[in-house]
Formats: sequence, C-alpha cells, structure tokens
Amino acid sequence: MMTEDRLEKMRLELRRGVLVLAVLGSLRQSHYGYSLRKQLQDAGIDIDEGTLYPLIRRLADQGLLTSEWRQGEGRDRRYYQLSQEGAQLLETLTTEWQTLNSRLSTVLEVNK
Amino acid sequence: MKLLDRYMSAVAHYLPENRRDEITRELRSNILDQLEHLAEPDQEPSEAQVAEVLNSLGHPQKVAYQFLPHQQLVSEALFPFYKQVLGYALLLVFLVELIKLSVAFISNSYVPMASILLGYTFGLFTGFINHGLLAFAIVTGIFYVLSNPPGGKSVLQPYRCWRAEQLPPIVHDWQRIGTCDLAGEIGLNILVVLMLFHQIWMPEEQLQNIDVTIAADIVPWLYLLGALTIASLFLNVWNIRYGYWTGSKLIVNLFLNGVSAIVFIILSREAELFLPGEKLKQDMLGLVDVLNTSFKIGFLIAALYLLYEVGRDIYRVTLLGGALRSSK
Repeated sequence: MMTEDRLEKMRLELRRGVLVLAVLGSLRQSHYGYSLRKQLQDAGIDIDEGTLYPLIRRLADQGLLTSEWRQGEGRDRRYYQLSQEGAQLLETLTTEWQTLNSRLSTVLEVNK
Repeated sequence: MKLLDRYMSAVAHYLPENRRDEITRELRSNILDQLEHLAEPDQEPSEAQVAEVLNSLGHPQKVAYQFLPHQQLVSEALFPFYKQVLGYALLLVFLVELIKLSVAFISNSYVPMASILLGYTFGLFTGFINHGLLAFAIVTGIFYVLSNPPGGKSVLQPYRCWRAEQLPPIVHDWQRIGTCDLAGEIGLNILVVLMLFHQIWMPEEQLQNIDVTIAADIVPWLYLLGALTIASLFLNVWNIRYGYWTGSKLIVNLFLNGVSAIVFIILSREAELFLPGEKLKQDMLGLVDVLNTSFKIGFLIAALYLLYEVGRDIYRVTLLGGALRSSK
C-alpha cells in the first residue's frame, strides 16, 4: 500500500513542472507576488508562498520575466510580466503540454 | 511588526551579500501583502497573525535557500562518475600506504614479529583513514566545482563519448573484476615484490642488521617467483583499465598461478629456506627453525590456494569457450 509520504512526493513531482507553466501563463498580465498567488488560487491551483515567490525570482533570473518596482497603496511592490523570451517559451511549452496531456489521457483511458 | 523584522534579519543572514537587499525587500513586500489581507480593515495585523504567516513560510534558512540557484555537492548526473573516481582515489591511497608500510615492515628486524604485525595493521588503518579523508575531500571538492560551474554550463560530460559497441564482452557476472579484489591483488603483488627484492631498495646498513640469510639453493626459485609476481602485477594494472576477465587473460592468469603454485610447492619441500646469520646469538638459533617451518607451511597454503584458482580458471575458460561457440 502506498504511504502518505510517497504519495506526497509523487504529487509534488507531478506538479513541479506544471506550476512553471501556470505561473508563466498567469504572467501574461503583470502581477506582484501576492496577486499572482491569489489569481492561481482563484483558478484552483493552490501554491504555497514559500514555493511561489522563489519560483518567480528564478524565472526572472533566467530572463523569462521582466520586473519593476511600482508604488501602490503606500507600499513598494515588485511587478512581474512575461518577457519576450518567456512568451516564446510559454507558447512552446503550452503546445508541449497539450500534446502530452492528450496522449496521456488516451493512455490512461485505454488502460483503465 | 518586530517579529517580521526579526524574520527578515534571519533570512538576510542566509543570503549572499550582493542579493540580500533585493530579496529581503521583495519578500517583505509579499509578506506585508499577505498580512494586509489577514488583518481587519484599517488595522495593523496582530503578532499572532504575523507569526502564523511566517511559520507557514518556513524556516528562514529554507526560505533563503529557495531564492538562490540550486547547488549540489555533486550533481545527480555526475554522481556515478564521482563514485568511480572516489573508488580509484581510495584504491590509490591504500596502495601508497601499503607500499610505505611494507617498506617499514621489512626494514624492521629487531622488533618482535607480533608487535610489528600489530603496528603494521594499525599504521595501515590510520594512514588509510588520514589520507583517505584527504582524498575524499579533494575529489569531492573537484566534483563540487564541476557540479556548480561558474557559467552554469557543465564542462565535464563523462558519458558523452560512450558507444554501445565499446561495451566489454561480458556474459557472466564473475567476469567483472571488483575494485576491492583488484586493490587486494595489487597490494599483495607489491608486498611480495618488495620482500623478494629487498636487497635492491634496502640501505646497506639495514641489510647488515638482518639476522638471517636466505639459503643459496632457493635463490633462483625466489627470482622466478619475483618475475611471476611482476607479471601478475602488470596484469592487475591492466585490469584497472579493462576490469573484466576474457579467455586470454584467464589463460595468462592460469599460467602465472600454476607456475607460482609449483614454485611454492618446491620451496615448501626444501630442507632449509633461511640460515642463521653470522651475528645471530646462539640462544636465538631456535627462531630460525620456527621461521623455516612457518614459511614452509605458508608456502604450502599459498600453493593450495593458487591450485584452487587454477582449477577455477580452467572451469571459467571452458565456460567462456562454450559461450563463444554458442554465439557463432
């Protein structure tokens, strides 16, 4: 029988790559950390802040996101948006994801 | 908000100085956003709410680490190669220690045999641990740099030139030669060569201090044994690069072991292997008899073991011959 730990580990592995896609997809519009988290949560993708904030930074470090500090509601916030490179990557990854998802669905359906 | 300041200070502690301000500024802003949504409108969040948010974020070290590029002591891709290199480095350390201590062991003629053996084993152990740790640190350090290259692009790609056609022709598991077995064989070869040819490397004054002489009748046999051991050493060094048995290597090994076994049997049947030296005291003469008997028994045991290996290798050669015929 599968233990809780193992299930959690596999669930995390499964989500890891998909989260990048979700973040890139959401950042077609500019967001700051908390607003991005809210948008993902509203879309049913729950991601804890300890994972999300470093992930955005890493994507920005890789040149996939642009960022700027803006003043709003009396406080500085760092806003992120897809860079040109990020947009191209998102397009490729989306196609890849859709192909994979459709093939995987077939496999899971056939072997049910 | 004192708690938040303490948290940010703790996170900053684990960040490199050049990124500290940028990351903590952003993290603080994100946390404040979160707190703003938790607190009542137009009210400061309570310390309990701050604590809840910070606890859910996690330990400052973990949070700081997540913001930095991931580093590994040895990357997953290089790990199998790292283990192999480490194995060879430790093997080299073991052999160097063995040679150093063999020289010390053979040079020491006045200390009782039991003390020498005890000191020899202990010296080998401590020397291996000390230098083994150094080798471990050096190899791991090199692989750390290779796993985390400055430009981010890995320089070392150990499996890039791999081709299926280059795989060794192994059909039986026993054909693979283990690193530990190889280390033992090479160590034994070196020890025997050093003992047999001690006149070459030992200083003259130490040679004069040796209380026993080797019987003239057995000297040619010892030279033959030395030549066989050197040939075996070459074969074992070759096996470091090509660590598997083939039919031809087995036949060479079989020949070396067979002839060595015959020499050992001849030596074990000799009347005297060692003779008392001129300086040996009268009351120590009995020790020469003990030495002769011990070596004769030792040679006989060595011969029996080598004959067992000869039998085993003959069987293995037939197995390989059978596999070759069936593949044609």
